[in-house]
Amino acid sequence: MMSDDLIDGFVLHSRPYRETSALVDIFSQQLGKVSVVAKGLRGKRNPKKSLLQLFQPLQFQLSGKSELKNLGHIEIAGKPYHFSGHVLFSAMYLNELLNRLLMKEFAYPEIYDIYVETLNQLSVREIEPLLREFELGLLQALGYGIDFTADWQHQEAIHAEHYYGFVHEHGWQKLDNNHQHANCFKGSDLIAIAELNWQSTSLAAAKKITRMALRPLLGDKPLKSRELFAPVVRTE
Amino acid sequence: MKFSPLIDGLISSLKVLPGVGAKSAQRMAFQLLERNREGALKLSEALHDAMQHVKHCQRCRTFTEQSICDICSNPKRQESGILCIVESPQDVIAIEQTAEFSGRYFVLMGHLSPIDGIGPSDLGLDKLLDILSKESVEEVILATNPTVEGEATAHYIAQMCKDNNVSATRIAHGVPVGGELEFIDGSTLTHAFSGRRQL
Repeated sequence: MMSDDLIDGFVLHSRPYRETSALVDIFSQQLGKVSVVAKGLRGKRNPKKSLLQLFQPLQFQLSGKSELKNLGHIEIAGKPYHFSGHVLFSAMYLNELLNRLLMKEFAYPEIYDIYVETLNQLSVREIEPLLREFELGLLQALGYGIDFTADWQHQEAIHAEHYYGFVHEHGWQKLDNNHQHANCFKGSDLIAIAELNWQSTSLAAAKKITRMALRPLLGDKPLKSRELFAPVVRTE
Repeated sequence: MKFSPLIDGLISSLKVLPGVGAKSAQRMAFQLLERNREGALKLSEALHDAMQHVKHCQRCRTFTEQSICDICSNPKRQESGILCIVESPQDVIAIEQTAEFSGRYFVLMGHLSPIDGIGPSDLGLDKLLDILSKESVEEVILATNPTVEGEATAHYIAQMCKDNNVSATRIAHGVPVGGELEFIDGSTLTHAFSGRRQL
């Protein structure tokens, strides 16, 4: 890799390393997710400290051939996103999803665009539909896209009045009658999701569906950022 | 060259210290063996005692060998009705040195960081909820670090305070004393501008 090329990206996560350094996971447009060492980052007078924050568009210069790169020069590439409250928790949820699902050093230009677009809209649009669109876009770009318009088993279009069950990596399967279990969705909601027509029923269905589709990809460890949306309960 | 087992053991044990690698551990070991055995014995005793007895304060979670730390058991500090929330015991010491704050603390021992697997339940927030609902707290000062994670932690706790009808304030951030504006980074300056106040 050319060492003087600047790449665009965001910090997904950083954790302390040695006395004053940090290990930083970056999501970049050109290289996808990369791990870098930021030497002396946590030192007293390091000006990079305030730059290497989450949700700050940056340009990085990386060097090194191994999986762990060295962080060289960094520049601000735009205004930082200032989120607060639930919007901030949602943005952290995006980062956790990306950190868990993306392979290292594999460029995902589509996902990068979706990420930037979602950050742009987080403070303006309603959170729930935005998160669902992000999850659906992410699934699509990772090769697990869901076709909300067709019944996979019978090779026919989804019918608004029928009920369907979700089969991972395949899609929809018509159910004979309205089963009262978790994996049973009304055709009209599926059609609404395909049209990104968000109402309370289609949103609730989309939430269940994206969770079901993401679960096998995420493995057994639950997503921690989901806890941020729930209040603390007293243990005693 | 290989050292005798005891020396080897000492060197590898010293490497647990932050910032100490093989070379410095070796230097430390020989310095202690050659010149300061008395100090080294004291060190081993102090280490042993501290590791055996220091635990978390049952109220504020800071480190102490008592069940309730000195600050928490001071009745004057309880009267003030102010609770300051910080990320680490070092922050308590930094604030104590200013002698500006006379309330009590709550030490989170970290911040919310989902990717590291740290959620609300790992920061002792259930204990904080207990304090908010049982003790007479008038104000909660959120003194978490000015990072995105620190900010998220502050927001989360602010929401808890709101649910319990306790007022929550966030420490100001901006230009350091003696600093020069031209050398200050953009985001700190932005914060300083958005947090400006009437003179």
